[in-house]
Amino acid sequence: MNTRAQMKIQEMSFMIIALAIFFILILLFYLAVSLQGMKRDVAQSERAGGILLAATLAGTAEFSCAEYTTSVCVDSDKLLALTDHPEYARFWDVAGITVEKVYPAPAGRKVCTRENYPNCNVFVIVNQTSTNTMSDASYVLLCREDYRNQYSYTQCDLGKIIVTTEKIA
Amino acid sequence: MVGFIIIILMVMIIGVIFLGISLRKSVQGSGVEATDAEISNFMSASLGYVTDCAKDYEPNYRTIEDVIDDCYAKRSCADGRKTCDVLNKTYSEILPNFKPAGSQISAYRMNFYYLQNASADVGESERLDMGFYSGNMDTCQSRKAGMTSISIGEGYIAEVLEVCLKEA
Repeated sequence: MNTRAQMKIQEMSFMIIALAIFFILILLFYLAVSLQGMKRDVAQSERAGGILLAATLAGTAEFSCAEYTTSVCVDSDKLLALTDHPEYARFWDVAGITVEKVYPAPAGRKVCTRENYPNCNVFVIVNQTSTNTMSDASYVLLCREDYRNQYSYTQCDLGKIIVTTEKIA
Repeated sequence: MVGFIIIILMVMIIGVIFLGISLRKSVQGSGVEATDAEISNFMSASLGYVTDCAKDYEPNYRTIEDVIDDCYAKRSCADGRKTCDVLNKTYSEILPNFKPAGSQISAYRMNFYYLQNASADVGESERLDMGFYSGNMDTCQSRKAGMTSISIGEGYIAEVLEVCLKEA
């Protein structure tokens, strides 16, 4: 009788240990799944933050279009004026600002100057000199006034503003 | 022994219910899959791109946003072209220049949905007969999606872009 009782207690303790291991495994599985999702969310959030930073800069008075007040519209005539004034570079306190035309893009990289505008595709606002940097970009509209059949109209192309900042050591 | 089997069954049922709820949560909101910030940003910006489709006279050109509205209302360009064809052609030219996260697009599918209000769920909304695609999305291994919406009349049109990525 005594031996049988001992066996029962042993069976019970094995059962409790097995159950505990089973629940721990479930918990580990759940944690692994949720951590994987969390990592993806953090990466997505970092990218969204970068886009927002670049879009905020595009929405400032120095870049934005007069007609459209949204942050996605950048006035390319203003960009051309800014490229002529390198002393403005100190104003933003970033390592580099470049605006590229994405579509329609002329073949090759043509930096915009007064001579080749608007047949160019890159505006260098702040020339990047340092190497330990990271970049954030946001898609924007590159708008300018154009003429056709003696009428003026706003031509908006697709562009990208790239803001480069120094990496924090 | 019977008690142990009952416990295992209970845990399995709870696990299946939990898994079902979490999978349903990830699908809700976009109607397709989780939306990507870069693709949504690209789509919002591209809405303002000025196409070569004039409304009545040149140069009264329409933006992509206007062309989507015109395609929904089955209006044509001043030169007689169908606005839905202009929409398809414009995106087929723009998308090869779009490289999300440094990758190239090997296939894409664009769908449009009519929303009663801005917060309506795309998955439960009416899909409009003005979508288009390029390449094979069904066999795609790495896909991303983005969404933007425009206001039309009393409702909204949601534009959902799914892209298949390949290494650049």
